[in-house]
Amino acid sequence: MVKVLRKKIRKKLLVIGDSGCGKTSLLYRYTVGEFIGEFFPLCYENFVVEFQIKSTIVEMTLWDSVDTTEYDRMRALYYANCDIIMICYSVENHESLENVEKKWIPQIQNYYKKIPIVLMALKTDLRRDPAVLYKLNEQSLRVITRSEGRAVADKIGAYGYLECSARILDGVDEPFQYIAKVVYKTHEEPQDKKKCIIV
Amino acid sequence: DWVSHWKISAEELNEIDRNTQEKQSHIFDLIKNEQKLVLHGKILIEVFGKSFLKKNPPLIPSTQKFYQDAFLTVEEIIRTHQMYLLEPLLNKLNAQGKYISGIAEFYIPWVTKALIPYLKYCDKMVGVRELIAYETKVRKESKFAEWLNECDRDPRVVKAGVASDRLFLNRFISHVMQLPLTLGAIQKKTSPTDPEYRNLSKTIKAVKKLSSKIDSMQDCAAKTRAIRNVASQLIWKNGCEVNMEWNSPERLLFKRGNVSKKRDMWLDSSSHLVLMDNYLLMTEEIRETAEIKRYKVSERPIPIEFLLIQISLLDRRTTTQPGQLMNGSISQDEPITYAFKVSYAGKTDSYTFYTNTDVERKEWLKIIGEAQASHRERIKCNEPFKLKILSDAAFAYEKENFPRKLPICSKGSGIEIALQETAEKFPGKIPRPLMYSSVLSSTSFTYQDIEYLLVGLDYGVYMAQSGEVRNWKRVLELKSISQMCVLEQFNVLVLLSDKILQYYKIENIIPVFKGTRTKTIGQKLSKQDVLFFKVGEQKGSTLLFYSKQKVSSSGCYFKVVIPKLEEATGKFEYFEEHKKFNIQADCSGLTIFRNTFAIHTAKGFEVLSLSMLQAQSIPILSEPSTVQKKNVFSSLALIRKKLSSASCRPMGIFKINEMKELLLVYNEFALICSNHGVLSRISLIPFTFRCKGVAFQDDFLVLVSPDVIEV
Repeated sequence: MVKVLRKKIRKKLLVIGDSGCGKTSLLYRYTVGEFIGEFFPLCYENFVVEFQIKSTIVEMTLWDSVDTTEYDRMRALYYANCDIIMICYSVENHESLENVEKKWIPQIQNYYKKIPIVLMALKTDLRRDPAVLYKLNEQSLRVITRSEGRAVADKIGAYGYLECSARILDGVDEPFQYIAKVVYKTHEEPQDKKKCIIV
Repeated sequence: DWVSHWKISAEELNEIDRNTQEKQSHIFDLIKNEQKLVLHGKILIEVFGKSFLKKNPPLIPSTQKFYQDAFLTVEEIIRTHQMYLLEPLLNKLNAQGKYISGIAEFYIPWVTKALIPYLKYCDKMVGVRELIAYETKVRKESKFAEWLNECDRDPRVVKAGVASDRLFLNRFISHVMQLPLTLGAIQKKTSPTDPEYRNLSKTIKAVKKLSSKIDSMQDCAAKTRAIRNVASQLIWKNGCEVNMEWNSPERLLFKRGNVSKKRDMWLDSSSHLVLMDNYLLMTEEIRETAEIKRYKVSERPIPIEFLLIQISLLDRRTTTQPGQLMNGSISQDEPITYAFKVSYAGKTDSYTFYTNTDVERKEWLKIIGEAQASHRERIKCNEPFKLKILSDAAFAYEKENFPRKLPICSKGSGIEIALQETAEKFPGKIPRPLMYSSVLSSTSFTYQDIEYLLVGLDYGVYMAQSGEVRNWKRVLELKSISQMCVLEQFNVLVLLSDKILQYYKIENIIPVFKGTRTKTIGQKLSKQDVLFFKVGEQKGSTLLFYSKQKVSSSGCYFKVVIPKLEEATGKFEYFEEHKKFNIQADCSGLTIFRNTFAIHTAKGFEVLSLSMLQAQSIPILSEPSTVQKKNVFSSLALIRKKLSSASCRPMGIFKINEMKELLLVYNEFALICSNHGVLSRISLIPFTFRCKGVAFQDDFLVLVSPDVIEV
């Protein structure tokens, strides 16, 4: 018997994070399946992907962003109608993780009081890259570990913490499936559902 | 990408210099992005636009307007991209092939052509996006949303990898935002000696300028839209409406939002505040349907210039709830709220609002301050008077009269500016006050080319040289000095202290001020209690009128005295009695003219002359002839009603219009009549508050009340 899919929900995922942390690469790898390395477009056109969760189809538009610090009002257009936001950082770039709290969270708060956020560690393959390790060592730094990333995720109240590497295709699909589940869940149970008041 | 497009083999690639590879790859991206943008624009117009027009019955009431705003604006943008960028770029690609150079030259002409279409697009799109959001998010089973879905499923749309949300939201604008990035990446790979490097710099600058213009247009359009939304959502109570001048280009919406308001004993209600640049509106939300919210203006709007803000030091509010009233306990999870009070200066209207967090309250206070500052900035050039601080430290409130809630002085206000100037002039700690009292009267005079200031308090007259803000000194030890006047011609100070009318010679006061003498004694003018006095000039001589209350019956005695000079020295000697008369009414004031004078009674102004003590009430209201229009009649009726109202008090008469007309000032309004007392203009000048004092200076009428001074 063919199962009838009853509902189709449309959701928007906005991917933000410091420039050069690998947002576009991740999206490109996930949707096109190629690793674009250095000849990458500076911004990637958005793509629509579909997931099936129970009897519902979650149609999710993936929005890449460009850092447009200069244009406040135009940035509002990126942020319009978001359902979930993915903040990315790169494991070899400490500043990109610091900016999660310093820059991106305040920016989100300009537009949303409450929205599900997931924190995403990118370029995890570099944790084992001797050249990167050597370079960081010279600055007496280390790569950012999973637990350090998770600590920030907890601090910002993120829905989840994920890691991936677009280069070695490690954990590229899981984040999007996870996000689809989150938006499905939040769709089913609206955040602002009122509690009963007992007088 | 570039490599696959030109089918460059790995060997070939190895031979090409890395910089060139990257640069050409970026240029290729640039052209491809341009192509894609034009394609998306065409899809929007062809797929969405055409099917939208074809829909019958129409999806929304104003089909034509939506089509123009959402599609025709895009058509224009796309035309500039196609003509000034894509075509020249493709020509270049065809002519130069793999290695392209000199692309910067196309962008500057494009920027000039694209500016207006983009700004127009931004302006229109705010409304378009709002309509789409309403149709897709708020309305249920909207035909419009269905149509959008249909379009999104169109194979052409799917193939192009776009969707309605992106097309309507930021597809075109983000393209412009990204251009400088791509151009910058190309520039990085260009040698600085190449002339193209400089051209790229110029181009990037021009595109960035376009971006920031689009950005500010976006802001401006959103603001106008927000104002229009407010205007359309408001419901005014009958007769309560004020002219907001919604269409004025200066109108700004500073903030709107809900705060709670304490209503009855236990009922909290929510109030929706709308802070515009000219008024603060207090409204209540009304849900017309599930989708449409409207706001009823629940209180009289407060003009920004009359808006006073107070915060009480008590942040915690104890709300009592019905159950608690009975058992008298206060529940633990009592919400803590933060209060601020707004009031209408000069009126009794005041409202206390509560926010749930201190941050929210601070935000409101901050924005209200901004609104006031911007309002002040705008009217600055119209301000007739500049405030000058006479004293910032000498006088202080009496303890029991100390105002518990001082209004917050907003930034940029006249008072703040004047205080700052004084603080700069006299740095250091503010000295302790000399006297705790309220100021009852004041005057200034010039003696031997020096300007002096006098202030009458509850205890004593204080004096200072003009500009000597911190140098006040007590010169006379008297009680409650309610009126003071200096007859400069005679160097005499006349004052009313504790109902005793007396005068002092200035030449005796100056030594006391300078410390060379300790005391001076005044001369009493009247043995009886004096209500008030007034100095004026008639027929070339100075007259001092003063009024005494009758002991037995109602009414007042008036006495007029003339200052007399010593014949030998030309100095003032004494006051000579000139005339006495009786008025059968309680008088509150007096205005002296050249030949006549007017007394202020509870019933209005009465004009008399000293030679013929015959009273004539003014204004004289002529009966309108039947020929005259109805509105003349009704406004006369209104004036009559106002004049006979119990709260109406005459305050003063001033000559205006080169003495041809008189301005009759009452506590709540003013009238204009001819110099014969006949009402000359039928319009009434209403005041925004009930004033306690009036003054007239350089054609400006100054009205004073405890909270406000209006000019």
